[in-house]
Amino acid sequence: MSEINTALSVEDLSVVYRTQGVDIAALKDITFNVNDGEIFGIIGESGSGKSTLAKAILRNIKPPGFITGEPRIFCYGRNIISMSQREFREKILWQLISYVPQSSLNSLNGTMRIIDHFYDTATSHGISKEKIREKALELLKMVRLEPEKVAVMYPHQLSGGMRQRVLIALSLLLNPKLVIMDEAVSALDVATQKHILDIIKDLNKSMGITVIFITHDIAIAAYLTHTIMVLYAGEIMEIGKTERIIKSPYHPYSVSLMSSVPSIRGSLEGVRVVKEGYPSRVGCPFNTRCEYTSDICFKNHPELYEINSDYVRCFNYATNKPKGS
Amino acid sequence: MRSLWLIRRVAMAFITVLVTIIISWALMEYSPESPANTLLNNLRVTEYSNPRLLIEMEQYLNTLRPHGNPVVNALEYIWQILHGNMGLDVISQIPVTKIIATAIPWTIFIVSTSLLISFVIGIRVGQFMGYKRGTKSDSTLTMLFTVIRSIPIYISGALLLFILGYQMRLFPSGGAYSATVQVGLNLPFIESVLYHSILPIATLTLANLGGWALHMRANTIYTLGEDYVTYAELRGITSRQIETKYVGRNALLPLYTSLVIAIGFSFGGSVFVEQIFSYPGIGNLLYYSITNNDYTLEMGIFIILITAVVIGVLLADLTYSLIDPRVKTGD
Amino acid sequence: MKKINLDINEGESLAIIGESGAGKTTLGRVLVGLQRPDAGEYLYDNINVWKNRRAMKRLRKEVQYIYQDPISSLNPSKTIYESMSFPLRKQGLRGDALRERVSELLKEVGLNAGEVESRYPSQLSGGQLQRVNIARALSVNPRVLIADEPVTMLDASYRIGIIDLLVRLKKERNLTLVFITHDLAISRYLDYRISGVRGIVMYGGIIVERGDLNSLIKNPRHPYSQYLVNSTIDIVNDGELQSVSKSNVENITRAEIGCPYSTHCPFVMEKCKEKEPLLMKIEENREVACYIYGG
Repeated sequence: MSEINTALSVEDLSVVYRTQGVDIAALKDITFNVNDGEIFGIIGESGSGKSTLAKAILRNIKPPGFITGEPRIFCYGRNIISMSQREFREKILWQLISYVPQSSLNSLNGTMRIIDHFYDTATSHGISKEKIREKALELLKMVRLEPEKVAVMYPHQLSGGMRQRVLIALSLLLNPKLVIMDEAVSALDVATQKHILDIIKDLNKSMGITVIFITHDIAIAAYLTHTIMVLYAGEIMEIGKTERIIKSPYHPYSVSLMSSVPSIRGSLEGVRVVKEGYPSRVGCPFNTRCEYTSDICFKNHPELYEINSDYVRCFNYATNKPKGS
Repeated sequence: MRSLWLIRRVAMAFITVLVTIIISWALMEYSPESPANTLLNNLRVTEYSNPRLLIEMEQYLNTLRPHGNPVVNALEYIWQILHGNMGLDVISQIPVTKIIATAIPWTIFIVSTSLLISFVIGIRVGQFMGYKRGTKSDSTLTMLFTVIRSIPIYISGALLLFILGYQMRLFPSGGAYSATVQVGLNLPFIESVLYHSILPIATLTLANLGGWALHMRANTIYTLGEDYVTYAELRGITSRQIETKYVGRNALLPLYTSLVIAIGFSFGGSVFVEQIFSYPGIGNLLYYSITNNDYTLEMGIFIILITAVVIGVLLADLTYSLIDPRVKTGD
Repeated sequence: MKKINLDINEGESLAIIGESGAGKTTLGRVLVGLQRPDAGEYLYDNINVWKNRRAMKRLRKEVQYIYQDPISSLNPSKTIYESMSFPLRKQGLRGDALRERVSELLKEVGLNAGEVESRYPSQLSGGQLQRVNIARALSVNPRVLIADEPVTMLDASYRIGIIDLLVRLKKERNLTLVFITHDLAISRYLDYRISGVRGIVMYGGIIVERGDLNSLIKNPRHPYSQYLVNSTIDIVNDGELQSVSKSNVENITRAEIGCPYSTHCPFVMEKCKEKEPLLMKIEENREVACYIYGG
């Protein structure tokens, strides 16, 4: 891990939701690294904790959600979780890490013009409107929008795809090194999806921006990312290179995810139904749906085991050494 | 498209006013009471009751009553109204427009002042409560406002008058200004007017405050949960900007319509207050005209009240698109 | 939606493919009798349902609709049992017979009645809820199922299960299945399981292409179908995809006159902007509404 620069490292991050005195774990001991310059995919289904993870990194967990334990989160060498909220807002947000929200949400203020969102962001970080205007227009152009025209429009006058491109442009305003994108293309039409993914690929390639791309769509993760981390029930099930995970996933859950997605060009023979069920609270969380269980899966909780510098949380790989040992 | 919608909307408002005039006119026309009856009843009980005089009086008053086809009468009345002529007051024989003109500034003064004060304080406190939702200060204020809002205005007015006016003698018990000052643009007069207006304005403000505050509180809480507020926080926008441009503006917008409509309605809303504080506004006039069956004056005031409400609603409708870019008028 | 000519035969499977705004949901609503066509007629069993009340009543019972959002199609304050028993009570079932029928139907869609009956919709997963919706549709013994994006809102790992269920029900009950989707891969899987699914591609309210679904996806002929197939991101990653589109602007503006795709089509001709092309047969089992192929 020394030669490659680390963009983000997260260690022992846990988040709980506290309702009526009972803690429900949303994230359990999350530990991973994102390398500088890569597109890091986080895939998971509803309830897997993937959006909570984004919010935790951005320090936006609000009650009833709480971060527990003593996590360490470093972004380009800076400890972003121990610094004051004020310093984080002023120095880290948008200048080091920025964020693109879910496309289905109404993330833009309907009473403000598009350009005002850029101005607000700049002035909040001590940069004047005049200084940022050109940069804003340049970014709008980069995401293939007509800058002068779109700048003075209101959010409701844009289509969903155009709004998503505005959000991407906005995320780049203060030259961040890392952009976290949460379901950034999910609610869009397929053709629009592809346009936007190509823009993201291009940003990554030409500007060297590191991207954390959170999605439930495996095909999109396969198309876009270099590394994939699979989340299930708030835990990391597997981390590995995208190509390997798509072709030969290790974890039974990853296997079932990959086989549940039909292709429009390739063979459909491998497509298989996954057993339905809720995550288990005892033993391995996937033991209620897994086809490869043995007794130990119902008793003990598996560690993350290392295989060829990838990681998998499954007893079937327990002959390999646990992570960190 | 837009101008066509505008014309339609204005025409609708005009027709609404006309229809309400016709309905009120019909109610008056077929009402068993008449100003003549009231006047005669008054005369009968006085010492001057002379049967001959009474009969003469009755004959005279009957000539004042409209005769002939009621439809023609109604049309004639409306025609006159459209020309700004509301006829003569039955009892005093002074033009109705003139009577109303002297009363209406007093009403506008106390109503608009109280509306402004209650709105400004209400939205401030409401936003504070919204931000502090679930805390002790929020729940205390919510309870307080709910209680205040449910007290009828004639009770709160009477209480204020009794305690601050009669018991503590802090404020005058009625009227718009003291009888000893010279009417005109001079300092003692203005001081007296302001001094006399404090209790009525306080009563009206108290009545409106809870509504604005609770409404703003609800809007603020709703807006705080909106995605664009979270996204603004994540962008590192200062909390001050979020409070004004994101939460404040979006929570306030829906209240704009209520405010403009409230202005229209408030002309009629001060009847009780003006009655309690013997304030010489249009509400007091309305009370007087009803008790005396002074139907030309009654009708005149009705028309003013109705027109104010209709114009308020119309204005709210027409101008909302100017302040909220999301709404395109006429779409 | 305009000038749609469509016959659906008893027992066949039809996939209606299109993106948002293509008119596919409107078409679905017409088929189920929820929306009256402004012009033209809709015949069910050769009877115009908008002119014959009994035919409409029969249509309403025999054609059942499955919605995209599984949770909002169930009353949140009613248990699954209550939601399930409502249509059955109307058929006169009571007591043990009713209970038995409910658990039978739930079993048919792969749910364990004892496990889900007493729960509320918020306590079930999306996949389970969609199964409940399907069970409820089955309770009136329909002949036709119209499934409008039935798996779009579900997690990926539940989708195939629902498709497999629809396929099994179609076979066991000999249903006519109309499957509305924007997802080419899912519709291809449906065809893989049933085979012989007819496909329709809609754009801007018209049918731009129709034919056997499998060959339609393999070899699309209308420029829009080609664009759709080529820009769909596939799990089988074959490098950079080629987009057959003139502009980078997404399809929000549609031509009002002529072919609705003319504003985005890379092969646009003068004719396309003037008059709407009609569906015409260009080969066995393939009709395309495009002047490239003549007309």
